[in-house]
Amino acid sequence: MDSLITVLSYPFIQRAIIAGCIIAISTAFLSVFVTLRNMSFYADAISHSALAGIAIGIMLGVAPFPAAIVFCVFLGLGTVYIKNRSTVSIDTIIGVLFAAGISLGVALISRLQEFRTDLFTFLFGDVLAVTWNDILVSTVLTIVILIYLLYTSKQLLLSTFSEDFSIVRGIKTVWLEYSFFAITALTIAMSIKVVGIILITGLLIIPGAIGKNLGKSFKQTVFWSLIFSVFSAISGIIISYYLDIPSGPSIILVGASCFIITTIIRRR
Amino acid sequence: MQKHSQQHSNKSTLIHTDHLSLTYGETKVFSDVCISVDRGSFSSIVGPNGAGKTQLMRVMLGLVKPTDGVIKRNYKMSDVGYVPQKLFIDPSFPITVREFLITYLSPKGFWISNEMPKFDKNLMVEDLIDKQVGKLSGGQLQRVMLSAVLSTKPKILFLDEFSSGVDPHGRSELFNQLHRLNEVDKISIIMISHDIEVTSQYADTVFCLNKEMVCNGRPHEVFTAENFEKMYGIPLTKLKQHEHRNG
Repeated sequence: MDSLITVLSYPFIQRAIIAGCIIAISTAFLSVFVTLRNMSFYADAISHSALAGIAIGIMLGVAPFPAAIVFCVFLGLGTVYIKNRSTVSIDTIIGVLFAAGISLGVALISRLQEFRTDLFTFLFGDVLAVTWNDILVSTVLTIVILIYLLYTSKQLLLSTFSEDFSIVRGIKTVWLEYSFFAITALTIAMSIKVVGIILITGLLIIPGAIGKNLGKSFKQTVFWSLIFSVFSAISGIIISYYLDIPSGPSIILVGASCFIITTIIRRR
Repeated sequence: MQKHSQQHSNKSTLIHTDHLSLTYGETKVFSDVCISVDRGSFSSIVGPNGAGKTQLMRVMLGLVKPTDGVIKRNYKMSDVGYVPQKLFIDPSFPITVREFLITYLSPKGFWISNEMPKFDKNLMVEDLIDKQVGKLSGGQLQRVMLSAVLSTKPKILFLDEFSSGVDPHGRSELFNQLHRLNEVDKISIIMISHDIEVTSQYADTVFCLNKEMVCNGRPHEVFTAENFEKMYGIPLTKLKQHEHRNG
């Protein structure tokens, strides 16, 4: 069995760890707001619908992941648009889009014979296959996501507590809602390569939940969320190499274990 | 109607409404509401549940457009402090009072600074500053909310059922503070309250609403048996028995 030093010297492991850490940072910060705003169902719906975006990309002859990013962001904006013009609850709207998105994905995949071999990669991720180009794109998008979250974090907090309260305080809640749904969709689509469509919700919930377990303030919640998200990404990738299992599920299992341990510690 | 509204609006009038109505689809929330709120006054909107009080306040704040009628506001939004009926704070979410106050004072701009806003010492929130907002009692939360709102130096306070969930001692303390803000700091106050006793004690103007304006004026003028029956649909004696049973 290779030593840890040897494993870390492999270029594909180095790329995987760098990509995993970059994605972990953006999903960790975002997960604090996803858990606070009870948006896990939305994250699930967008991630599963990304399958349709990937299939559309392949059908149009463009790269599947950028196509998924564009598709997911439009779906996020569409969700808010319908919500603001309907009396139906947001859960119902997301439920409809969720079902329609995954159905479209499956329908399109059934028409693409060559695509089926890659299905496992899209469903469960393959961080070991990331390229330097993928890392560059993820880095740029993560910087955009972090600047957005740092700038809007106080507005997002106030608007979660009461929309009226935040409007009176001068916050443009309509813009805030559109932008937050779009940023969440962007983060989800960007993270598919690391953990895959099925497991991306885990990255958007587990770090925030751990942060809530350990934090005694909002700042501490974000801090612990970031620490455990990055720890899960690094250790999950290394464990996946030694156990010869897919890295996406390995990252999520490490995160879930940390959540269980911190929940027990908190109860004491 | 517009002309009529402007005739009644002058500098001492903070808000003037003329035949204001609000409906959602087929549902009438309130109709034909004509009121004038004076600058510097302590006004209270009273009425039963579902009377349209909160929605009237939301129209006053410009959060909802009325379906019909005219509203004239002689204030800027930056002069307003608003305490809603309820905050949706997950009790397990660890945001401290300090972070909440900083967030409220400067919601725009990057991240949460460590600079504490100056807050009203009379509200005694210093001891709560590092506590989590979700773990505060009803009275403590209202004191924190009032501190947050006052940190922006408002000229008008809108308070929606401000004392609900607060024990009698805490309620008395809160209303003494409101009385001081109105009398000493000359802050206009518009509140929604179910508490007739508190309204009688502190408010100088009362608006009785039950889908439409039932009465308005000084508390001792409007709190009559006839008006209570119009407002609540039951005689005053039965209302008192009901209030007595419900503490």
